[in-house]
Amino acid sequence: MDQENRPDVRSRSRVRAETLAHPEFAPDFSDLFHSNGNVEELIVGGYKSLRDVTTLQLRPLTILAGHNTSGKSSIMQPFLLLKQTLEQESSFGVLSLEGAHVHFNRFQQLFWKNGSEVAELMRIGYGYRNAQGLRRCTDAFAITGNELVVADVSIARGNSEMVLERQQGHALDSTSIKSVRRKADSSWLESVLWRDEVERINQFREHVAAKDTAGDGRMLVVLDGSKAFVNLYLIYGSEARRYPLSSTFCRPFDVLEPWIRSLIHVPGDRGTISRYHRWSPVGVRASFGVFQDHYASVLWDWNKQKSSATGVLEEWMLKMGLGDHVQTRKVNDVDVEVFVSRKPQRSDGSSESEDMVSIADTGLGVSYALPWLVALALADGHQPVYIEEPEAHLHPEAQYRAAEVLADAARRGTTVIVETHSDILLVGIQRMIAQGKLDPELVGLNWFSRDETGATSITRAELTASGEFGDWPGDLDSTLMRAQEDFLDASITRQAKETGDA
Amino acid sequence: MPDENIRSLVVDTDVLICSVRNDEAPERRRRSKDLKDAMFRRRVKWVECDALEKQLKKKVADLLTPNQEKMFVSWEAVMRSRGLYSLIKGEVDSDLRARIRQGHGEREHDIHLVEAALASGRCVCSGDNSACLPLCAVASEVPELQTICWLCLDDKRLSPANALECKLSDPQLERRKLSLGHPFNLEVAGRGRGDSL
Repeated sequence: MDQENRPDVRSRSRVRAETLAHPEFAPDFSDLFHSNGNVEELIVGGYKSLRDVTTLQLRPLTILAGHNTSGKSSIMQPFLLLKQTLEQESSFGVLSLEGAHVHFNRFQQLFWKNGSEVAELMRIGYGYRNAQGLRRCTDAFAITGNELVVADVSIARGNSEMVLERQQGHALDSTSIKSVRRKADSSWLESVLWRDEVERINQFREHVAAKDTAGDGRMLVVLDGSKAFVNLYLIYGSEARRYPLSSTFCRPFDVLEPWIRSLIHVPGDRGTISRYHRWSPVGVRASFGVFQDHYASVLWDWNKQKSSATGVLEEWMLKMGLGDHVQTRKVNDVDVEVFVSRKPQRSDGSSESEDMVSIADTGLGVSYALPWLVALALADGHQPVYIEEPEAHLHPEAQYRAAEVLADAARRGTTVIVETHSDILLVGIQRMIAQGKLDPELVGLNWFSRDETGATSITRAELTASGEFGDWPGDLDSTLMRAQEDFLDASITRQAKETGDA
Repeated sequence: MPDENIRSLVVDTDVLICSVRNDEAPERRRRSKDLKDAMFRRRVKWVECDALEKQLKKKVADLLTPNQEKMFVSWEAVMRSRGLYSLIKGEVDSDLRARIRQGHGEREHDIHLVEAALASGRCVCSGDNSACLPLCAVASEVPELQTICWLCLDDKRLSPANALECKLSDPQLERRKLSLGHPFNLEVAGRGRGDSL
């Protein structure tokens, strides 16, 4: 267990669940409760190489770096699994294994494995902060029979953690419950719940008391374990009236769900660059699926609306030496073609139309970078954008300048998550910090490494005001240095040999 | 004070750029390279003062080809990124300077090495013995100098890279205190006295 990443749990309530005999309840208490806050942490454990519960701290610019197969993608994949589950509204089951973002065909592929050692639980969670503090909510998934189920849900705040545990052996769609005695449970409930959630419970109690004065006062916490985004209900029951009243009092994943829906994913594999892009309605659906399927439509929409976002995009393209103009045209009713300027910058007075070239006829650097540049220009507020390998196919100079674009986006408030192997991009970020153009607080450096058992761990670095990352194991820059030293070695050896020979 | 390894080192400009210069003897280049590599691996802080930094910039610009400069800067950037670079901004100690000059002459550069060493971990590495031998000669009159451990790139008995593996109490490092004279340097200079302390 990664102690650093676990809350210091001093009072932990572990709740044994039972199966509700008649789960057909309908919330009859006004169901308008919604939490809000900012997602600050992503939590994963028991997933692929992430054996221990591991926390990724999110900053406006979060860098994921490490060797190949070190687990960089694995920290984000569970959230992409949740995303494709949400996007496949009609899908059955807790998680959709096959979708636009990630591809699995067996639940077992999700779980940590080392020889005969296999994780029993896979945890996916997050931490979010609002005016009342930071709270961590985590789903634990398990395979029961041939199905993936939510085995328990943990809600942790400060030193307290409440775990609602699904009873072993129950079917996926069974509802897990726990009897809660009002007095006995009020303290631990309040230690993990927000004030308004506790108020919600109290309102419900009053509601129950008014409705059923003959009841025994027994209430049940209900965990609806059939979906990943579980809600917690209170159900009131008595011998006479079996669970007639219910109320959602806590939606642990209320903040994560919209965060995941709005997450724009630009995968490292941008596929074959086609001349025509299928037009799709954009707006809120721009974050649906992978973004290279939408970026042309977004550009077409911007051109049509004469959006200022085009200006931001063109400024960034120019900064990276990828051209200074972008255009689109509707080829037919379903296809859009994207054009970019032929030269990095028009200087000879030639007209726009002469200067434009289809994206299919440009180098891969431009066609690979454009989707993530559009994604960053599109992002609204703190909208998360996850970019895999932004440096793909880019010349080092463009990689270096890409740091300025990422920093711009982070300063605009976008939550930028970047997976990279580019030392020069990292140096570009350090340079901006040292120049005072980027607050080091906005940047999170995360180095992924695996131990001898293959388990991934993350080492975080706090950048100083002069751009130093201190004792961080990141070796992107030192690999270049080592390569140069190896060259020096070879050169010295050869020279010595020649001198000796002489 | 716990007996630890050298944690910081003032390195003379010539030693730093030696590893990337094609016109250096292969053995010297290797020693310089090994030292820089050991400083990185063992997290030994590279200490500079304003004057040494200015001199370094000038020598890099004057003596290195663009390709050599790129290689040098690569090491510098790696050290800085990890917080292994320290720029000393100390007040000038006029009294100390006067006392050193009295016996040592107007060797401004050597005084910068001494000042940076006194303000950090009291360890210096220079290319040859031309700086430390005259300082040894005045060490009895300048007590501050007696605490400085002076490494030399040309020292065949203990390379600076190997010195970083030693504890500060190691006799090999103790012998390199300015107060004790520099037999290893005499040997380097071909005077044949050897390491007989």
